[in-house]
Amino acid sequence: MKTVLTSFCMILALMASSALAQEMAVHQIVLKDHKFEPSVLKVKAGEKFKLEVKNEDASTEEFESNVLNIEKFVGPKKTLKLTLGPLKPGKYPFFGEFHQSTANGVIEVEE
Amino acid sequence: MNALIVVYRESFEALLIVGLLWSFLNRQSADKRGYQALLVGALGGLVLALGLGVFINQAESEFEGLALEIFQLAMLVLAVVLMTHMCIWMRKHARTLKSELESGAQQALSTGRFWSLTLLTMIAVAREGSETVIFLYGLWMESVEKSQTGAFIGLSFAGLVLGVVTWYAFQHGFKAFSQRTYFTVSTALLFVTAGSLVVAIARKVISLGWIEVGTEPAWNSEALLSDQHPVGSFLNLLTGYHAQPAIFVVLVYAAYWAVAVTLYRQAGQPATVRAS
Repeated sequence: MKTVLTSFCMILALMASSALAQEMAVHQIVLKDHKFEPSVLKVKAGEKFKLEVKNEDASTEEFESNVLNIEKFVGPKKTLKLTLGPLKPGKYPFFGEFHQSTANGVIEVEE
Repeated sequence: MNALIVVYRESFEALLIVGLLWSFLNRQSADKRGYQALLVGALGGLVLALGLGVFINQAESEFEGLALEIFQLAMLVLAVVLMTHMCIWMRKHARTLKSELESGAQQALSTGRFWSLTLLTMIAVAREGSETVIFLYGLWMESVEKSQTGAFIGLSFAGLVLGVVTWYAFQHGFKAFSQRTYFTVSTALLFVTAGSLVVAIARKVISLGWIEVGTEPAWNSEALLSDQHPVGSFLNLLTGYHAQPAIFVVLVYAAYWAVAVTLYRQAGQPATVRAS
């Protein structure tokens, strides 16, 4: 009985998580040679979304956005996963704290 | 050039807090134990910074990332409590300490006081130090690849020296002040620095997703003074200034000042009564 219940719960949880995953758009930004690609990311307004920051450099970077209150480390060859939004239309700049002169970008939120 | 700027900024931030504590001790001609407490704190902070740096670089899972952030958050909260408590304690005892000293009585700094000195120094050094460790490690790896290790060491050392020089100038500027003004100015600076840590705490709470309301900017003073502007980034370092602070951050910051000012006033009252 216990196993049946557990597996039932697991299926429910799986369904719930896949439903959530379907709803949320996933955007990826790659950091290479201390530059973000894409440096301009277009996102729909009023929706939650996932942002993955993949660091392909050999050094740790600190992914920062003043407007979005983000300040997080991304280790070398690692990926930072964030859930953001819902955001109002506008421009939300971000940067790499350790290489501010090159590692710059902006999330453009549009209707 | 990056090495110079980052090391400069981080070392100045750490020195600001440690320096204020140090000059507090200096002004009160405290006994040796005070300085020992600072030294132990600074060394402990360096060890902790190295440990944190290695941990952050190695952290694989999201759980480790979360554990790290919560640890950093706890460090920040503890630092704010200690700094605020210290300001209030100084206010209460500034006069008695001086008179006790003049009458030749043994100064009574309790053991607890030394512990908070040690802890505060440790946190200040560890917080700024761990970022420096991570940054320098990355840069070191790159300079090895490009065989520019000489420039790397030179620039980071220059950054450290600049940090110390700026801090020294800062401290020296204080000497012109009278004892009274000195206490007011340095207490204000400690409160302001604690305020910048409060901003960091509030922003961390948002980034951890613990709060969902009040995350939008309260205002936008980007056109007036942006975070990237030299003045803006200096203010950010000292006070936690942001051109577009979240409503939640502003509220928490205001609440901190309200509590700090109330406590400080209360601490000052008995002293004023005695003086009159």
